[in-house]
Amino acid sequence: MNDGVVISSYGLLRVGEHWDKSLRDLIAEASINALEKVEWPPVDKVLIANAASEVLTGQGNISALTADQLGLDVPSVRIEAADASGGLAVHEAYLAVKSGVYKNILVVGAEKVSEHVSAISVHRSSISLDKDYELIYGTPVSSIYALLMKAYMDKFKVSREPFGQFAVEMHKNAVENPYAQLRFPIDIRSYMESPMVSDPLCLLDCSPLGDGAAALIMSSMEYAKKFTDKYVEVAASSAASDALSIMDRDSILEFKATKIASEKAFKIAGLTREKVDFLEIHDVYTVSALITLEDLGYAEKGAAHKYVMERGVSREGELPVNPEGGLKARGHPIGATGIYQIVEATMQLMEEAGSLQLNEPNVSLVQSMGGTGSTVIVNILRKLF
Amino acid sequence: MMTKKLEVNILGWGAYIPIYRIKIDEICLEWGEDPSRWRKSLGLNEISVPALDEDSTTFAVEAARSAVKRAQISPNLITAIYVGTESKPYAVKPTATIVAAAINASARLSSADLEFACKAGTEAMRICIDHSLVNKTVSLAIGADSAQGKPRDALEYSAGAGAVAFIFSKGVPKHAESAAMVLHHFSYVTDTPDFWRCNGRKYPSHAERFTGAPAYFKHTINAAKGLMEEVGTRPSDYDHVVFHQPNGKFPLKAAKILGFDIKQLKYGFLADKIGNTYAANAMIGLASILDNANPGEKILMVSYGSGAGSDAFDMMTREGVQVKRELAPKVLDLISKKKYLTYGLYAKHKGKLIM
Amino acid sequence: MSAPEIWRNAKQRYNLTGYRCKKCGKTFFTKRIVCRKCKSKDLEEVLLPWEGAIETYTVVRSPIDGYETKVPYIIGLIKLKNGVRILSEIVDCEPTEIEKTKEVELVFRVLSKDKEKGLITYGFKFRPKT
Repeated sequence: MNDGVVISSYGLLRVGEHWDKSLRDLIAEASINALEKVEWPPVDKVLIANAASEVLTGQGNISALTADQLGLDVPSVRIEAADASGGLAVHEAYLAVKSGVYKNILVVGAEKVSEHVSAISVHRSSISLDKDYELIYGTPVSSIYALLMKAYMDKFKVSREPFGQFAVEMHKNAVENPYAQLRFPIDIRSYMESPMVSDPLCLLDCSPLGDGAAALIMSSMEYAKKFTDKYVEVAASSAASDALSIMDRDSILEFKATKIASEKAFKIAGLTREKVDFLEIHDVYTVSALITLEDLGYAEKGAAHKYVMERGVSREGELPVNPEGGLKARGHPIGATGIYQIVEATMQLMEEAGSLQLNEPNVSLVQSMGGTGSTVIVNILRKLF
Repeated sequence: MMTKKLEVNILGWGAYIPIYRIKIDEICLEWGEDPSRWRKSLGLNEISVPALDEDSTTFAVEAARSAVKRAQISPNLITAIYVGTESKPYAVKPTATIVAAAINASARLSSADLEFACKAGTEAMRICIDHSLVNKTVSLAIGADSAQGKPRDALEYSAGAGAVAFIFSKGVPKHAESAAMVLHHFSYVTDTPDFWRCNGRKYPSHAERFTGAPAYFKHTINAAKGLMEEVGTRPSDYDHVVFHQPNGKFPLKAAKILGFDIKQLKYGFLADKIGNTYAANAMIGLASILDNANPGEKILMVSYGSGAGSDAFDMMTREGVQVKRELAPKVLDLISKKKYLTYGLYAKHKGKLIM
Repeated sequence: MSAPEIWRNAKQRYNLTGYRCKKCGKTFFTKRIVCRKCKSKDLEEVLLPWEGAIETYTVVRSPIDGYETKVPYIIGLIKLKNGVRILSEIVDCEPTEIEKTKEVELVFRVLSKDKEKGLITYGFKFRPKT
């Protein structure tokens, strides 16, 4: 068994509409980007995170496609857990290195969503829901989160404002992020006037789907030292599952899998939540961010709205949340999103985040969520140099 | 000449009318027509319209479920289901089997869908009555339609939507009760092309004024007369009478020709409120009579289907009619629960918009 | 939905059946072979109540492919009378009326139509209780 698992390199593309790039281009560009940074060290395994290439592009067997594009003959595995594919791929890479069987793994996440008009892309990406019991009624993922948002607002007597405030902060963060999809600021007024998508959830509560790819090299610490002196430790990686549909949950106002995975991750890393310098959370809709702040234990149950309004989530605050803009403004390339989160946390810890750089952060907690909370991965990253 | 009485019981009945309506005035507005002239010439005020996710099959299921509730029997006892409709969602694939599954009926079933324009529902009744008579079992007859009218055609102003179901039984099963008894039926059919829809066509066609004297009136009157002659009754013997109501005027005229009083039409005349519900038409009138009649009252029902033919039924209410009416929604309750549509929404609900 | 899918699910969709664990008593709407709670395999198919109350709802204005003509439509989470939670569409109800709607009852409707070959999926939805 290997002691330290580290992230030794990363690569990423701007999230958005890459009309000129196919899925294979996205995978190759992000991977090459990560490999070139450290001069192509030998890779002994490939993990490709992707949520829905079959229905979004018509291409299956993308584990082989990925290895092929890079001219590799090592094992290649595709990881799919809807929006959590990226987080889960990192978890699987962590286990593979930790086991001692693999020493240097390329983990790439890619999604091509712009091949079809939005109604089709939204439909095909909504296959993460239960097709027999939810999708049959014409439920895009937004409608399920809208149910949660309405339940949250009613239960805790909350207005739309805190949700809007979270969106405002994410847009503010993304303005200077060269990799973000939505690089424009919004204010609370534009949020309030934004059209309803699924009441009470409005357009500015939603993260935009976008094409994207991001890559990591995950290595044993010992092996990483052979080709770099700058790496970030994966101090803990923990995953948990919950019912596929919100119908079968005891409570719809929490993501149980986040609670389980984060508690375990803190234990493995030997850290308390106060030691975390910034968060990367799955704000696919603003409501998922608010509930997640509670599930991670940073806000009391039903008090995340106060947390957002009073303590704040900005880059300048005590505990920055999604300093690069989150899914909300950086964009949401579904299966690649979890890799973007890890790349962005790594850039911060390596102090390579440019104008987005936080003041010498040491620890980041990264939460990746799939479906409507059915899969959650919590990874804790720690600076090691 | 007095024929032998059938004495087949009606154990339950159930109607369904969608909640959407459009006013004749609103359709007139679309086509620049004079509303008062159209209301007067058709004798209609508004018509029922399906919801976006309804069709004749969903109507049939709703009506059948209400009929089962009133019959207070296990659906397992039903051995025949016949559905009359001219607006099947599938050209080929029975509605009757979907109804059977939706009411949890057994698979040991005689069933089919029938087409005879607006007479298909009463033809389903005849088949079920005879089935129950011969086999001494329980049967379910349904008339259901969500009829189409070509934009600007008179049918666009008159085609309604609804369904109705009746459960028949020769004897009365344990713990069940009879609501009424069918005593006689009589049919009158000729080859008369007054209204038709060709295969593959979305909208039906009709021969305008030819639908009157040689079609509706000839068949309705001959069937009514034929039945009364065979049974030995006169119009004054009936407490209630209901005719097919393609518009609000034909049934009143037929009643007058035959010598019925307007009072006898009181509960069965509904066209002015929901339009022509085609295969469900006269049968919804009968359901409304059962919602209101006292035990021991005599009912005459005469249907009409283009093409053409009429079925006439001689019936008598029984003790169970009063208790049973409370077990499911009554026709007048269904009629009074409504939401009005604009012409644009009407066109959308009727599937007239090509997307 | 394909023909086998429609056929396989018809009973549950038409009559709202669920699965009750005979050991711990927990009832599920979604199909189960093993109880999510106590892991017993002794589950029986049961008819679920056709009435319930709206727990929360949303008005869908941005639909998925194939549901465009229905916009706006209402999706609700419903607590059935026996406490089982299900998701369904709420019909015969305008977005302006849904806030004051609490009690709902089952109706039989078209759920979807196959775009290419026209096959219809029928099943339950809910409407405000009459």
